[in-house]
Amino acid sequence: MEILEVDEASAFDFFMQQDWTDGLPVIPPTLDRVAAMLAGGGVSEDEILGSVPARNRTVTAGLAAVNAVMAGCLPAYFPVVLAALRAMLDPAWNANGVLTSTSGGAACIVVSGPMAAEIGMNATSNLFGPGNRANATIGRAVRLVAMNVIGARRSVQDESSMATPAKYTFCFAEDEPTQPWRPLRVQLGYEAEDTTVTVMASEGPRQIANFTNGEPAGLLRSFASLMKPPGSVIVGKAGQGIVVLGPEHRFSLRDAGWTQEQIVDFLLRESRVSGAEVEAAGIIIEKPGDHHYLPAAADGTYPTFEKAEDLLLVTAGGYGAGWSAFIPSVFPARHGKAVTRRVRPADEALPDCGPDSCEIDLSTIALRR
Amino acid sequence: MATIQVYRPVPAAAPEEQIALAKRSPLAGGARIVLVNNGKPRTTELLTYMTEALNRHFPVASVTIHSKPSAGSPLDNDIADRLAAEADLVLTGLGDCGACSSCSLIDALMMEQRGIPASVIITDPFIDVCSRIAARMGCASYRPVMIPHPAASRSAEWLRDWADRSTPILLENLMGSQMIRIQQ
Repeated sequence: MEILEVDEASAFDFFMQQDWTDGLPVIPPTLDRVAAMLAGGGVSEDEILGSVPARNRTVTAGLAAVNAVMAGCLPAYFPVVLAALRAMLDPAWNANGVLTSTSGGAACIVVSGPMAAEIGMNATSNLFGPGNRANATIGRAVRLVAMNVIGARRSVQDESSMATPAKYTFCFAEDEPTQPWRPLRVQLGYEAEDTTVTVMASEGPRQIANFTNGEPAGLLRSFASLMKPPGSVIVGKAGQGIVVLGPEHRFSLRDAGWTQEQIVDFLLRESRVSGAEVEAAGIIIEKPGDHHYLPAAADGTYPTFEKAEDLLLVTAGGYGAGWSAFIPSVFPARHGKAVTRRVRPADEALPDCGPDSCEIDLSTIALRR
Repeated sequence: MATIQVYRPVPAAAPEEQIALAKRSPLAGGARIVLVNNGKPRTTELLTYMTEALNRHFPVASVTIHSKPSAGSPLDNDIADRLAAEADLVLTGLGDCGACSSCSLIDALMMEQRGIPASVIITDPFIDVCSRIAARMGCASYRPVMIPHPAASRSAEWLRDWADRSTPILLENLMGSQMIRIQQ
């Protein structure tokens, strides 16, 4: 990595002039700070986290550490930053599409597991708001990598029409649900003792208010009403979403005996829209196959979400009158999907593959193109 | 003045991937045209009008429409191979947003890499992003065909009119200016 000598007193101004910030002050990425960050993640600077071939860009752990320092991360956060970047660089996430798109999505990062509390992440009151260093700087580090390393800035390749303030940072932790409900990572097939990071290209959160109805079907219909406004880009086109269940709502549902699967099934069904609803809102339904609208079902309705796996249930948020939130994906799932990665602790050794299995002669493998 | 040493937070300039564009040659017979339709609204109509306009300048033997599953991703390599084997000329589009214009441009460049002259069709706000990508891929002079934005909400007559207006640039992109003179 290239080392520069800069005036200490005006380092921030220099970074600003170079177009290397998000517009807010950054911590100068000095050599010792970057070394500490890399040690916090247990990685070497030249480790490759992934590539975006359509942009001819590769993200290394070194550049990720530089940007994490600039964002204000502590070294203990770096394993979470690395997992988030690895998720984002999975081809299924479609970093080139997300970061170029006029839809202007944020990278919504959900951390599920014991490491979230260990590094002091916020999972309760003021969940999406300012004030928590881990939430704020992990999300910011990922955005700075997108801007500085992948080229997601206006002068290079970011065509957002509106974008969202969530592009500065959008990261929060799950507030572990009580039995029999399962935390997000377990719903996704990971172990309870793992920590996972789920990253979805998203709009900002929509707040759901229902203070008066504790009856499950009524309560969840109010959720669905915010999930299916026809002017929203995913409605009728099968997007993804994260439902963040606040304490009062989740206790109402759980105490009434509803399972997480029942909730997802109910929301999938209730978030479908009829052609008449869509047209009454002034949206012209595109012909099936011509762009995004999916064919209508036999009952004439269109899906907002196609499959149960496209709707993630997370428990989080603070106590108070009945609040929850819905976070929609920024475009239909066919263009890119949420990706989850297990956080690898810095001191975790690589598995021992045995005496022979790591000795592969690469010259015997034929690569196409 | 106290100084500190810091790392540069952006990568060193990546080596440009010089893409060799396809050779423009006179067409031996009727052209087999493949339309790489990204699925954005009205693309099939617009590209079809464009091939009709081209057919007034040279014989078109066949028009095949390939519909991509997502406008937000470029073609897969093996599909690009197959399309290149079936095409003499390729049109890609319609790039009327950020992700789709960049991916349709890459689709066209993938065809060029495989020796097939191709042109991407975009709406005018997306010329800058396409220029930056083309420069990064080592073919800064690659020129998209541009029509005004938006296209999706326009009438069929408007689309046909812009298909006709775009024909000179499309011909030059696909045939090369010298070839157009030979054909004419």
